[in-house]
Amino acid sequence: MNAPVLAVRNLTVRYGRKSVLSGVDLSLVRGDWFFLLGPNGSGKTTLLRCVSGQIIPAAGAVNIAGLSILNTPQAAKRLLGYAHPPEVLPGLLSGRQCLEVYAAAHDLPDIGSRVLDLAAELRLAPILDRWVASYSLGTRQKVSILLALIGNPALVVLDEAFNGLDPASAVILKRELHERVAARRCAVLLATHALDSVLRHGTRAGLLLDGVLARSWDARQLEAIRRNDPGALETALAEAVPQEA
Amino acid sequence: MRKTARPLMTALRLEATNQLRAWFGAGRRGQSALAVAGIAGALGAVMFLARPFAPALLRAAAPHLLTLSILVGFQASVLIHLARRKWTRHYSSNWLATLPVTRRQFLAITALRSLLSAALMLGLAPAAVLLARLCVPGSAAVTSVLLTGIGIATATGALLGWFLPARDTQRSDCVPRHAPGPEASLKGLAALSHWTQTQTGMWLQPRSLARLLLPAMLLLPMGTSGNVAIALLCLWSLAIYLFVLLRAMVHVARDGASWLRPTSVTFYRFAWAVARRPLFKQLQWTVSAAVLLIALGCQPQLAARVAEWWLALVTLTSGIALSRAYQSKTMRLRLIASVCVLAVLERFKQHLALPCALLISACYVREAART
Repeated sequence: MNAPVLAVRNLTVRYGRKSVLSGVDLSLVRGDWFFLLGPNGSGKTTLLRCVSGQIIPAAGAVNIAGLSILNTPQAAKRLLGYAHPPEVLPGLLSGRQCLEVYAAAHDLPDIGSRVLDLAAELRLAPILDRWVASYSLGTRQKVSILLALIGNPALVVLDEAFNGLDPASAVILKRELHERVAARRCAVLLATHALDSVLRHGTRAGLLLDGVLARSWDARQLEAIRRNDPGALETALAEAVPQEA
Repeated sequence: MRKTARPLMTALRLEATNQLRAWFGAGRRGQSALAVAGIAGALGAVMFLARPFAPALLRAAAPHLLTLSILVGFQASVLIHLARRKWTRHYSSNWLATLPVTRRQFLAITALRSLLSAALMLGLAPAAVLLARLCVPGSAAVTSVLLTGIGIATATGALLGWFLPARDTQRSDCVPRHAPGPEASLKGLAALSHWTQTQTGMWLQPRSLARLLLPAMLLLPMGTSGNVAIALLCLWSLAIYLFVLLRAMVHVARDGASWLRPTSVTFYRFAWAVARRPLFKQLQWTVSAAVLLIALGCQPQLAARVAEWWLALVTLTSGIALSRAYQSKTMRLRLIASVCVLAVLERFKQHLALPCALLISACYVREAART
């Protein structure tokens, strides 16, 4: 039951000669909500793109529920839900068409009632048949997250996904993710700068610095911070990030 | 919802259907009819202009079937190779990149989109031959041979282009395409002018240039003297440079406009910064190319007309690209229409192309500055 749903081993990524990730190891099981923290340019997005198979690493392995994203991408991606940045959604499809394409790709007969209910809760239902090009940034962001939730994936990967959302929608989506995680239906890997979310929802967190997972917090440590000193995480992060002279 | 096992194809079909609906849907019928009429008019103008040249075209092409096939094959291989790279990159990072689809589906959609995007250019040579067939009675036999040759060359070139090894753009250790140039730290808007130069340099890396020089080398007739061969290769390189420089300017105009439009930079300042240096380079190297043509034995009047036409095209493209980019609109239709107008005018009175191009560009620039 506790087999890792995501296993990243010795992941190394280089852009030209520049090393972006160096020997990153990460393992998540169902029920984990892992918050990936780190300053801009530390390699968070690159790590998430590697996990979702969009970048082939220079070295290392990424397995989703034991399936290699490099060698068996089709099988591995069946278990993955990735929220793309809102700007890559196709402007000439409606939100519903996007959801239908994703559902079909996961061999589902339809979008699924849960996702449609969620769309209604997010006040997307009346505009779901309009073209994505007419959506605001926040609305696209909502569609992007809904796409990631189609097919009940075992691993949900989100890259600063709540940034453009209004607070009410963010609460609804976080509650949905929280329920899925609490029921051990999936693991969530979320890159963010929002430390309050880490303390509220996180079961684990890690700090990525210059492509290296420099520090991590498990559930017990996060609970201690939550109870004793909610500002401790912020202080720890500030201390861990090297300051310019 | 209809269940499908081909989500990539479904997405493409839906996008195409929606695009057609956007073009021809309710409320846009007038504009669509105007666009269709414009395209039909442009085609008619091309037919009208090309009709007198059709017999000469056939007479010139028939004995050089091999040369023509090499050129067409090369064009097909370059177009398909570039298109494959572009669409592979697209489908590796777009919203469908994380879908559980087979490699075969991925290849199928890449092949289809590569073919579709190259179809217009690939269809030019067969269309010219078909046009000649329509215009010259009794040319069925010659044109059939030409069409067969072109068809085989296109298919062979396309296959070569598809299977040519390319850098895996998904690999993390490949160098990013738009690496910043050393001029990135220039002050003010001067960097925009250098951006075009840097972009040209990026597109004309030695590896790409070597590929582009290959057909020119293959086409050199046996027994050509060394000096002439070098001059011809220089001319070919110059032509490539001028074309890529123009393309880079259009690219920078679009990217630069989307970046600077929301700022307080005026259109004139923006246009001057982007176009100044590339236009000067265009003038400088077009004159050099004309001199080289004359040195190779071309009549001075003909060399001057070629240079004049190229400069007219550059002026027109620059003016339209800059103005349309700043207005966040597409330029293709206006460019085609303007070139057709120039061609028709030139048919009736020579040496009108450059002044007319300047006039049309000035109108576009003025319009963009006003809006």
